[in-house]
Amino acid sequence: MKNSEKLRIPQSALSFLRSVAGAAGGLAIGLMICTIAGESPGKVLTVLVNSSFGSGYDFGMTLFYTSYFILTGLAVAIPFKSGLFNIGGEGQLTIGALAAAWAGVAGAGIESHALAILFATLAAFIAGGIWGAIPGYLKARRGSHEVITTIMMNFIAAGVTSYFTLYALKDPDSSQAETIPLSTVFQLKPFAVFNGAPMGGLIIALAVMTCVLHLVLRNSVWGYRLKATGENETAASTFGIAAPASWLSSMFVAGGIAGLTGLVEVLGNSHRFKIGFSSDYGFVGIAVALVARGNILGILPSAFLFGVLQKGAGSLDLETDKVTRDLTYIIQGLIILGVASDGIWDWFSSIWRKRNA
Amino acid sequence: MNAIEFRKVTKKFGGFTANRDLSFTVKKGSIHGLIGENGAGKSTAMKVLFGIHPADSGEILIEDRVVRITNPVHAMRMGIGMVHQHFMLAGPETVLDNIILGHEPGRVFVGRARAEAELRAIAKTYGLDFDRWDRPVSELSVGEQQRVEILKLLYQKSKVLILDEPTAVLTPQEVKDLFGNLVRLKEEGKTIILISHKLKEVLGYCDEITVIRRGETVGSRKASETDDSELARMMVGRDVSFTYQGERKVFANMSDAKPVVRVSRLSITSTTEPLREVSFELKPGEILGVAGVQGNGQSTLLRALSHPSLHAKNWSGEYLLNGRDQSGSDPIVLRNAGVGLVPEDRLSEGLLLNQDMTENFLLGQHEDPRYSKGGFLLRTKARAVTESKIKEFDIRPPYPTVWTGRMSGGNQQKLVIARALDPGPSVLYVAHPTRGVDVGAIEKIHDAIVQERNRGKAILLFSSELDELMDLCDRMLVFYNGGIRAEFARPDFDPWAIGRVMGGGDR
Amino acid sequence: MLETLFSNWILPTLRVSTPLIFAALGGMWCERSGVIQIGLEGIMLVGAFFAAVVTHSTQSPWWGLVAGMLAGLMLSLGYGFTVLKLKANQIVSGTAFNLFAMGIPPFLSMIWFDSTGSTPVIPGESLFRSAPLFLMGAVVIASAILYHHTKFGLRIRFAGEHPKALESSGISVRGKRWQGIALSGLLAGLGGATLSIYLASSFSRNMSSGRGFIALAAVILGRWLPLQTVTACLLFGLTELAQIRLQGVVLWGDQAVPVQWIQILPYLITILVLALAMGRTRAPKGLGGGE
Repeated sequence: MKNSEKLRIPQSALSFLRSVAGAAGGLAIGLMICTIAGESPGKVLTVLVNSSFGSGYDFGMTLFYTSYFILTGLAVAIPFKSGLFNIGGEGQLTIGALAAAWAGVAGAGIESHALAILFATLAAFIAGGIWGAIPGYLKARRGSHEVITTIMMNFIAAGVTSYFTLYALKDPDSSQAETIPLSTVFQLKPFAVFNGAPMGGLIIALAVMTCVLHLVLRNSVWGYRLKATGENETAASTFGIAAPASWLSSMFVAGGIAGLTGLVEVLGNSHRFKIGFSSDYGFVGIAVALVARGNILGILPSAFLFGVLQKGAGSLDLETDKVTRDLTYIIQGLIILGVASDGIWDWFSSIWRKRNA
Repeated sequence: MNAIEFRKVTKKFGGFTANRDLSFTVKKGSIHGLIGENGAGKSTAMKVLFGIHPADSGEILIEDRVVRITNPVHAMRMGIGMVHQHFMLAGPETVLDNIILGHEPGRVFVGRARAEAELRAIAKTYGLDFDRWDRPVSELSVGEQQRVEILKLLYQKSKVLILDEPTAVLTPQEVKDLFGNLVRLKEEGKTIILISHKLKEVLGYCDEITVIRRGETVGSRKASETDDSELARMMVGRDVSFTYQGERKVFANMSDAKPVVRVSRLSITSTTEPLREVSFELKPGEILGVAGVQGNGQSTLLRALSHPSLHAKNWSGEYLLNGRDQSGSDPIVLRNAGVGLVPEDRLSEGLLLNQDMTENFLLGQHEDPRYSKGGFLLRTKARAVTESKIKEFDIRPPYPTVWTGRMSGGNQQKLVIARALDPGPSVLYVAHPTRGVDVGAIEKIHDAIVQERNRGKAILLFSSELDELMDLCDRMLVFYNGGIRAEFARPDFDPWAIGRVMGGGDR
Repeated sequence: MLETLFSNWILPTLRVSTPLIFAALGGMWCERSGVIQIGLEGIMLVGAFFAAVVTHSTQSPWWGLVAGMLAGLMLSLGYGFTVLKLKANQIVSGTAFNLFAMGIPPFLSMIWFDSTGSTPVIPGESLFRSAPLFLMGAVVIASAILYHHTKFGLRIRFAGEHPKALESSGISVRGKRWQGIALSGLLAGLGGATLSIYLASSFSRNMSSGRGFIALAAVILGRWLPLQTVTACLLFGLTELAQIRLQGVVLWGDQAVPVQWIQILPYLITILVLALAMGRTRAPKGLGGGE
């Protein structure tokens, strides 16, 4: 299962176009599937778009989902550089979110807003980071394949977080599976323009963070180490770049970033940890990173695309008779396939040649 | 009768002509040698015959009938079988399963009992001493695995057996056994084509020898009517094999000079290619050669010297560089201590093929204060230096933005050498500097190495080409079975004596 | 004593392991042929859904079984098309198919039953009693024989272990991989079917709930060998049973054993084994690679 070779994504202009065309194709097929349910693709698309941009609140929600996907997209794209495939974003983000909720409980005495946010951020980053670093460590020291271990870590995270939510951090005043609510010093304030959508300065912070990460990965010695390991592990090691260090560090950072979802969800939205708040956002991160072709800056528009999809789909339940929000799974799957099946172009051209031969 | 005949066979890859009007005949029931230098087109010719790369023009005759072979399966049906340099064997599967794959006697079931009985009979007929049908292939020695490959061909009823450089990976005893087997196969009526660049072997065992140079047939000779100097002349195209023409500076008082590298009683066991009690000194201004049949400890020595921390667990012995112990160092520490490295295989160990020359130039130098500051790379500076190296070493195409994967072997190697020399190292570990490199670049690379020697650098040169070692070295260590078996000093490089020692004999 | 052991533990373990065993054997064949099969989860889900739908409308669990297998086959062939024909990365494509498959049951159940991802309850007389158990036994035995003693097994092993060797002996590697993928679709679809019409009496949302991944883990723990894989499935089946049996049971102190700790056991075991048995869990060499 050597996938470092396969994960190397050419970033020419042509390949970018192919990626966009693949995503568009996946979306188009997904919409056409709606005709089975008796809905016109045009109507579904209109619902998706209107629901995403229709009002300040709608756009705020779109950005809210975008911020999830920036984080989970980065969590896939960064280990890509060192040749690893992190399918563990889902687990890393739930652990990070739980840690943020824990920070609110443990730091109940904190009175400064800035300090509270810093504390929760660190807790979320470190917890998610450790969750990501475990598969990184196992890969580095024991050679265990990261795809398998990250999948397993997702399930373990689900068990661990549900234990903490139901026992250790349980809100005694709630009948739901959720943790003790955060005090106001821990809560992020949304922008008023968004009319109550839980989105504020965080989206700007995440965009800035992405740009910084882009520069760091491109220009730092650390970024070079990751790239060299991802490109050719043996050559890197021969010239003093130890693959284990690259794997461990990239997975730690990736897990930490996925863990920052705790800021979006816990500090920004529900102000507590709820079981099942993430509808597979970690897996959507794979699609986000793929559409961005592993390019860090490309994560921003790609995450926005999936944000639109996620927000828009929520309205399908109300606005259409037979299509529900679950359509997003189908569309997300098809978009990944559209982008991943790069060979379709070669396949088309071979058929074309045969026909003209 | 002729088993195989090539008539004006031409094979092109893009603009490069690998075989041009190649013509020769192989007599039935003979061992036929096909020799030539690296890259002369021997392997291509056999791949054409085996249907891997069908010919562009010309004819191939099998048993005097013109045939068109378009794929390996087709070739196999016509009785042609090939033992590739890299064996086509699955390690965890048994010998029997590996042999009968695709030709199982049963309809639904494998029919192992029948197959085994048949194989025993075949092994007996051809005198192949073999009795380990249910062992996983990975438990066999390389020589035994080769025998499995041959049995596979016999089981498929191949009449013509092509062996591509069969002795490259064998120990001398295994080489002897192999040729014993081949002679027996010939006696039983099989035809054998032996691709090689080792004159001694083909002269010893072949009936007839065809020499190929630059994709063309130079001529064919009966083994009994030729000798090594004639064959060498035909292979190389001039009287003597290529020798270094440049100046060799003479250093006074070499014996008093302090060694740059001192290795004493270095052993690395528990690896597939162990190293046993190796001791030597390397002085400034000398090229010390490391010779030996592949697999006798040279690779382990190079890895140990260039990446000691990788072997920390089973390291024993002393490794001093300018008087300082380096037994636990990693490559970055060694580089800072003055080591330049040209690794064994530039593709797998030396380059990032999907990155440009600047990025590759930075590999290993990414922490050099000239190219990075405060944890960030100084790419502009690195690119400027890469550009100057491109000029200095005449690397083509001359743009630092070219992906190294798109460069020729020679130009890749020049970049690797330029990178190794960039920090001004006091010692160089150079392995197979001209392997797979075009003739034009060989001269430049040899020149660069000797120039460094003349500047007083200490150089440890690993090579499988004895000619190259004899050409460049001041002294030579011959490895056998993980240890240094003998040392030779210039000018007493007697190729026959060295060859004997490489094979485990005495000088 | 022996009888209660059988009826309380052995039989129930076999029952809950049935979906896992089918899916894991499918995964084993696919991975042995050299193709990574992350998509077992999605195939199981779709198989469970269609089995429930068809059983509900025909009132025959056998037709349901066939429908589950066919649905699984369709999905796996789609996967095969993307990875064998279009050269998509196997892990990426498998993940995409898992997401895609998650959307299918709610999408179709809305159209057919006006529900978001569940099917109407099937009356007891239209459900299986123990037939799948015998079917499972037959598939296990057949798999073991196919794997060790037939030409098919030998060739599919080489397709995954050393595709070049297989190709050079004149057999199409791609053909074997198509067969491996198809088997994974049929068997995982069958496994999914047993979830909805054998262990339950309808399809419920996200019914597979990670069993596809557990099956994959069983393949790895079983070192890609049929009987070992089945053993790993039984172990996981036992933990699943224990999870049900230990609900609310007080083992020590005054607190019940949190069910979450038992839930994560299969995953924890997998990780531990992967970490400890380094080098012994050797995957087929050509797994995930080209032909």
